[in-house]
Amino acid sequence: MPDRIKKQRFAALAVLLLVLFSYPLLSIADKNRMLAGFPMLYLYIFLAWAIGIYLLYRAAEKDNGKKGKEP
Amino acid sequence: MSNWIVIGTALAYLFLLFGIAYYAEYRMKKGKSLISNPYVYALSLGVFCTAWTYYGSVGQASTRGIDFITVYIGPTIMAALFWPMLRKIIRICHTQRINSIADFISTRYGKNFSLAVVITILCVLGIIPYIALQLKAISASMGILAKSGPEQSGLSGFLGDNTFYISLALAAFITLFGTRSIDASEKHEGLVAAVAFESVVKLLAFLAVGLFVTYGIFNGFGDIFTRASADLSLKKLFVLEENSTYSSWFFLCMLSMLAIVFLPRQFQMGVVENTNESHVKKAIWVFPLYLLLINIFVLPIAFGGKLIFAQTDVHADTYVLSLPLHYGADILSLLTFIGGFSAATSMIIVETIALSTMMSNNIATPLLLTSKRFRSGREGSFSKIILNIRRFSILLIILLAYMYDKMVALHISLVSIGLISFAAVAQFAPALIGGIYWKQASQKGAMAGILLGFVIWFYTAIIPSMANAGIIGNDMLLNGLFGQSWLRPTALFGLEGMDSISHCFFWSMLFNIGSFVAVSINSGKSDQERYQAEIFVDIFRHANSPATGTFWKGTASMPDLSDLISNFLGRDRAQKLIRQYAQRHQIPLDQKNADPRMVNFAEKVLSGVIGSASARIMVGTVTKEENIRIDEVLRILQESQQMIELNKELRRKSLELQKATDELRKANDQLRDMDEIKDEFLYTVTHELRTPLTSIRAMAEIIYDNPEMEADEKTRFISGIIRETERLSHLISQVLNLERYESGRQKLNSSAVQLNTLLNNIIDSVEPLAMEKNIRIIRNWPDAMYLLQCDAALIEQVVYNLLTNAIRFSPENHGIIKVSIRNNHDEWEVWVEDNGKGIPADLHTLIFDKFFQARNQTLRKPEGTGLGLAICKKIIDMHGGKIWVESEEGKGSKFIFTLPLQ
Repeated sequence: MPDRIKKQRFAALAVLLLVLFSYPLLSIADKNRMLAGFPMLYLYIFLAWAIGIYLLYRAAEKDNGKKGKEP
Repeated sequence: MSNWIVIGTALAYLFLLFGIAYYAEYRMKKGKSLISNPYVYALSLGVFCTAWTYYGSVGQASTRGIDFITVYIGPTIMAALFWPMLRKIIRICHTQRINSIADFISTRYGKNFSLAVVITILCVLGIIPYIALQLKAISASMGILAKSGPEQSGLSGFLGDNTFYISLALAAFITLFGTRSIDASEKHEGLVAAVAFESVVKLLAFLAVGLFVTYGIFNGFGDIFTRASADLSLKKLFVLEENSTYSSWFFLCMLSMLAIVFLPRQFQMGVVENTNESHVKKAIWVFPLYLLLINIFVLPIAFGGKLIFAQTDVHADTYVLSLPLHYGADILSLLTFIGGFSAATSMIIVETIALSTMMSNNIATPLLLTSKRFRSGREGSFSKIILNIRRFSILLIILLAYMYDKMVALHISLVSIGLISFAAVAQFAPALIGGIYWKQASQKGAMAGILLGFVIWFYTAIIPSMANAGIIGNDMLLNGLFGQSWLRPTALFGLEGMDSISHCFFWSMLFNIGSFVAVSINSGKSDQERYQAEIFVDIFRHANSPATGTFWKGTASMPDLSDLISNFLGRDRAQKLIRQYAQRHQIPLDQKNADPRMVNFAEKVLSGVIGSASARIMVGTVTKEENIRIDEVLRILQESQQMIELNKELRRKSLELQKATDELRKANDQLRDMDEIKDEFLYTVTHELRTPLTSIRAMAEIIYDNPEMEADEKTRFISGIIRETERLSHLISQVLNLERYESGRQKLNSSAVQLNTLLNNIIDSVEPLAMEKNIRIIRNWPDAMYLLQCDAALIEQVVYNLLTNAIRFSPENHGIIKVSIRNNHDEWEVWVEDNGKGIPADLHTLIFDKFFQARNQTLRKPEGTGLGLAICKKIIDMHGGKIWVESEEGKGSKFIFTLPLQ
């Protein structure tokens, strides 16, 4: 069932996001260092956030394209 | 800036909202809904961003660094669960006509009254301060803009306070567009449109300030951060660990995850006002994107403000407004104010609607309905009374918030109010989430969890904030309740080192979930509860099940039922609804006793108006025999469920069967094809065999018939016979060979072989043949090692076949055959070139077919058996190589085969 797979995909994404924004991954970026003019932690959080949104976009809109192809 | 400009702008903005809401409702009546759009839905969720986001985030960022972002990260994580969870909640709400979070939980647990009351009270307690916070933001921002305190006018008390009038205007707006229809489960299109619009306004305004500060005052992000990093106290904010802890970060994320679904305003916008489940799909990424955008400039503004207002007493909560004002950007300041105003008003509007529905449906209406005098009301009178209750609730909520703002909020820090509200509504999460996934969850468990969570929330969050505000003494905070130090509200059971919100969240959730699960497992459930649990947990399966409709088995008279609905909705509307429903389900209306489905429908309609618990009681009053056998209904429901399962199983089985049949048919077709090929092969072979046989027989007969034949002649015929017999046996052995390769019985007998030696041997053996036709064979490879693994005997056969073919088709006397070896990465290529007549391009693949020559005898006179190339191809295939021909007619041909080194 495609909906079941879709649900699982979202659940996996939720776990991924939670891990990205939790200790210990967070502590890797949590250093007093500047990167490209930004504090490293800030850069990490906003980049991870943007990537997360892109993944959500992919997961949410993915079968839209497929629907057209299905007979 | 003049006070009047500020007030005028605010009022003008409110009028604009009226206009938008009015237009949206106008569009809805024309059937062209403005809000039935996934982007509008996603934007309406933006009500999450309040004045706290707008002003408070900067304030928090300037003292605690990036900690504030958890409030938006949590919802982003939750967005991933919108599809599995939020959609399920929406489906349940729409099928059950649920209109608030209190209604949802009470309906799940057997339409339980007390649960709805407790949840409503908790919501009011938790949310009123939050609304007050918005009013405070409005008055504070107005004060800053007018460069004077809010109470600057000559009038004293609230009459001289702008916020008071703004509150009244808001109450009027909410009453006008929030209580249009008595059915609270109906959509408030005007409100949703206005809220979506406000989301756009506050985002644009905040981005405008952000751009102004980042690129107008400073020189971009890098500039601000570089300058900030020069200041040690600011540089400290770059690192999370210096200002907060990872555990606090984690708990705040979790708290915000829950808040995005369970805050009454989010439940209202995300669930109750949702017009189409599929809109959720868009919101999954548009809403987090919205949150990201509105937060991009928070840090630059915070650091910018810190740098500019370093030596002044400008409060960080006001930087958003103070910065453009400080630089004389008046229009931008006004726009910023409108942005903050829109953030505050949208929150107030939606939260008030949600709270007023809960208050009127779960507290006021049940009280009224139980009074005897009220029940004998005239037709349609209920609807007026209920609407008035709701209007009164709206006014009450706004006034309570106003009073709270004036009396208490002055003493409490802004940020904590928002998070305390988050922690309050998080108490619903276990009962609600458990309720839609876990059938065993019981009413007693839900009640225990919520009550216990509530008590701990109050003890660990409200008491400390009251003590901080000086409302109660500090004694309890320091020494604990009754002097027991393990009962200190901020270090319960000795848990120290957590910030107060994480501490509150952890303990309240632990006790909430713990008691919810423990009591649920150990308590029995009524049939009504079991039935609701079944529907809620399996909503996607039951949505179309006919059994969901047969709940009431008692007899109700149709006129009574119709009167009941008329009382709430008015006669015309009630009649219309009943007729439509009867038509759709083909229920005869002329019978005295109402159809059970009709009774159930009546209950659902009333649920939308007064909540499910009240609706149940009301319908109970007109059904004669309330002794409904719910267990029976449950049985029907489960049976029909089994039928569906069985059906699915059957369909799956037949699909499997179909697949097996298809596979069999395919295999059968393949077999038939192969059979045909075999037949054709046999036919060609016998045909080929007959030719030499015929000539042998003819020559033998000649000798037999002419005993007097001359010895010379006889020898000629006999040698002809011998030649033909040789050809015959050659043919047979080739057929046998081919058959052996094709059947796979021939095993490769691989060994290390020097390719050049192998070629030399074969060329040596065919050279005499070539000499006969005066053909030259050139060996074209440098002296080197040409080692490879192959079955030497078989490859020799290939080379032999190719060479004899080449000799056969080369012109006499000036024929030249060139044999070459090339290395091509991981394989050897062997070329056999001749200067014969060549092969037309369309035959290049056909010549490797069996008996190609035989079948194309019209093309040329057959020479050889016609199996040679087919055998070559088989052998090369077996070695994992390739064989092909490159040739043009009249220009000779080049046969190439490759052999892998290994």
